[in-house]
Amino acid sequence: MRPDHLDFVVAAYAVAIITVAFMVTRTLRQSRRLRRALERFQDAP
Amino acid sequence: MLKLANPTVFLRLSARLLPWLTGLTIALFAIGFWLVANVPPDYQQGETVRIMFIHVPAAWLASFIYGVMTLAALGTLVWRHPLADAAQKAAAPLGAGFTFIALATGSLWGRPMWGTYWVWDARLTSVLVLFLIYLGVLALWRSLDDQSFAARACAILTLVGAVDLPIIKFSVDWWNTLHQPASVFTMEGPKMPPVYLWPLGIMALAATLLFLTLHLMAIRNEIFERRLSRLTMEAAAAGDRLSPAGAPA
Repeated sequence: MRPDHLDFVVAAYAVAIITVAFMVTRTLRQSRRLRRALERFQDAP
Repeated sequence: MLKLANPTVFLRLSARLLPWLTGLTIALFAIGFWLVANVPPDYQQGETVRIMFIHVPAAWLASFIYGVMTLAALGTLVWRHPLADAAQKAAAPLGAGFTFIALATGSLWGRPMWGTYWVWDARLTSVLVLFLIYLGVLALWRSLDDQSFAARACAILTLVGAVDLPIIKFSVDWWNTLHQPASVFTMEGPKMPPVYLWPLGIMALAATLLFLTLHLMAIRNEIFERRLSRLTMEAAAAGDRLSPAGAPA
């Protein structure tokens, strides 16, 4: 019987999902940090 | 485009667009993953055909994002659009990310299908060069303190690197490569059966919307970053003016 190579499929999807998750969290974290910093400036007397 | 040159207008419009784009992206990925999970195994590739549904959209995006960066570079150098350099800077890490996905998933498909993770084939090598150009643009942005000089330098590097795009596209026609030739956008129409073509189309659309969503968010971040930097400098200057001459502020 021919091997199905599902391990390679799982590895490929894992790489893609981890990379996209990294890009999304990086963008969101940066957005939150900048918003907080700008709010601190606006709140300052 | 001219209206969007005003960062405040851009921020307002993008804030309105982002929830819709995010929702649409999630919905399309949900449909795409469901379709991918239900496609039959290929008669030759078996289950590994499922890798194609992430590899191909990532590879398309790798080139598409570089195209966006090339337009933004022209916007910076020729039209001096105020948001062009922000768009270029915001796109570079996303382009690098999608190119990495294309290279890694292609390699994981190559091992069971070709018997090797990597060959110095024209298509693979030209995409690796694209990845290195993305990293070069990112490194150049970070290495220069003067942001307007960095924007011009990165725009020139991006335009020089754009020569790699036609090489990637036509590498499979110009040279004998292990990588298969185009099978979707051909003169005779798609060579792929609809059972694979539809899920691929949905996944490609979802990935493109994901890029657009992240790109808009990253451009907004860049605008906020510049505002913050300007406010910090103004505050520092005001502190200097208030402190007595010669005394530390």
